[in-house]
Amino acid sequence: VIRKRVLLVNPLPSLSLYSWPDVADVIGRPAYIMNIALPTLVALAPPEVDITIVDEAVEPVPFDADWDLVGVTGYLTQMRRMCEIADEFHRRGRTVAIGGPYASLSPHIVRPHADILFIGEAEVTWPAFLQDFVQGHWQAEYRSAELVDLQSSPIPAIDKLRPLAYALGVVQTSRGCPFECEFCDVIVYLGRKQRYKTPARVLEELEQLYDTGYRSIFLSDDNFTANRQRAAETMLAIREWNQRQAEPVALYTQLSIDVTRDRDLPLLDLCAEAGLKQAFVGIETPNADALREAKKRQNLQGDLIRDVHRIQSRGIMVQAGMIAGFDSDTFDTFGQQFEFLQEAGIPMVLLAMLNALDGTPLRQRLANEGRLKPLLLADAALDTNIIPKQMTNRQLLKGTVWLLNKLYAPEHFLQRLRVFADHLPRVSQRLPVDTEFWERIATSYSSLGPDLRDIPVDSARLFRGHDPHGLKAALVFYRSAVSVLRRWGVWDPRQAALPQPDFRSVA
Amino acid sequence: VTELKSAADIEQWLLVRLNERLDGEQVDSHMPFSFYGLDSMDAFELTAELEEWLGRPIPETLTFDYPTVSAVATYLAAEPVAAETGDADAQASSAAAVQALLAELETPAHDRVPPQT
Repeated sequence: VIRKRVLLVNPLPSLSLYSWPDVADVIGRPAYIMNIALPTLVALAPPEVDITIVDEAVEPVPFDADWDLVGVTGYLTQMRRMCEIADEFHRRGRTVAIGGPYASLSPHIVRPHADILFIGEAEVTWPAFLQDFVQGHWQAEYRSAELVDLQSSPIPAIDKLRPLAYALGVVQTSRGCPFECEFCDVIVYLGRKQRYKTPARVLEELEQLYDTGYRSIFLSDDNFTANRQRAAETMLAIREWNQRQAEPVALYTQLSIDVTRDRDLPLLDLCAEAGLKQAFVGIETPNADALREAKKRQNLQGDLIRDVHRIQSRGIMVQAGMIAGFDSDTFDTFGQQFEFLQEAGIPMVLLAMLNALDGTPLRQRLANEGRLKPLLLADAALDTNIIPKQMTNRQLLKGTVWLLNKLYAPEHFLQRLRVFADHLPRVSQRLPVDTEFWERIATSYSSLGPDLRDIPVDSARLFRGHDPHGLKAALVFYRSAVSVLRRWGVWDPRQAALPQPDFRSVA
Repeated sequence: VTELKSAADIEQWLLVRLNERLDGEQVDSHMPFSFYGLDSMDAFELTAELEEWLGRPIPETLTFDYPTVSAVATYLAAEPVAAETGDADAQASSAAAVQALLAELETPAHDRVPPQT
């Protein structure tokens, strides 16, 4: 029997703060974070197909090899490259399938580039398609009829990835999120009923990554703490597992800020004891009217700065997703964002302009209000498809570029690190120094010019007597953020020196 | 043989072209093309003119990947950053940075305070 040769590609994302460019020399590995969608597809495939995975962040796409089928996945950030890769294979006469979050949410964009289009989760449709494919007759579209039970999702075949190609391994712990933030497309794709893997299954996958050599692992979860009981059960199991390891694993995940309520602090403590070192939190904005408008009610229950410090005081670094351009935002919001982030001491800020994504309630509302516009240059990184309410598009962009420069000016980054370090618990024992990592950091930063080369040593001074884990992650991120701003060409110290965005003459 | 243009030359050329295209508006080389309302068609035309001026092919998607005048000019000139040239000075400065950092990390924390509650 001749097995079908299938290539699965994870395309390179467009340049953004979410794409982690130029960190290979710092992390000592080719890419930052593992994609486990493709190894999951391998685990779902029948023996009649022979699958090769290529992650473009790690190695080039083998366009000229002989493939019976090419599959391409991707998020919104990978959309342009996804379509380019599909077209390139079509020119070589290959059959191309496209699936994943972007294809599911924006099938009308992807359809012209795909012979076979997958909409929704792949656990049922991918094996059904491969069955058809092996027999030589298949459909142009496979649509998942319902949200899958995560128990039926197999353990990803990570042995098909390049060994230790990533700084972060990944275990997906749930899909879906109960909240209803107006701008979010995750709930459109994965639903509001969270589906979970059992603690035993999570440990099995952690074990697999540990045995492969990973010591930093991202628990991929749209909201790890949304269901407190399940979060506690999972973290109890992980704590017990991690404490048994010779080299305990550092964990990262996503959670929402409401886990800092008084009654939830024991859960936060448990997360820290289990090894959680870093949490991505969608803080979005300190503007309460904007949070109300976006139905982000979970961010309105406490004092956001106190909440962030509560997480940090447990040794967990907060990484913030921030958004500019809500209807309630005014000229003053940019300055308020800056002051908030400095005071909260959040070193890693992922700032983007609000965009109305396909399928979201925000998109529907703005369409009804006649406030959508096309993106000018196909990528949304420095553009928005929204006509803002209280400012022009130019003013929004001016404020955003100012805020990016302000946040990532070296002195302001160091100031946030200082606040973060001040809230970290003290460690009494002397921690071993990861000499290789720090050598790579110092070498990389010394290539960035006189304004930036001393950041590692200045920041290390701030962390005397503290666990440097968050600092290490922040320095890797800052290295990539500087690259993003410089490669975009928006890096401009004149902007960082201004106390407010200069809106004069910007109509 | 095409003459290699410097980043400054390319930046100046782009600023003049955009200034014409935008009816005399002053262009900031660090603000995104989207700020000036440039769309895909403008970008396509500008890229074609630039190609002719430089005398070499340019990727069609250049302005997607390099969304400001500054970014396009830096990319097309591809001048190595001074500190990344691998010269002796840069290497010495890099070695000094490594030493300074490791020395800091080996410094014991004198000002320990009791753990926060």
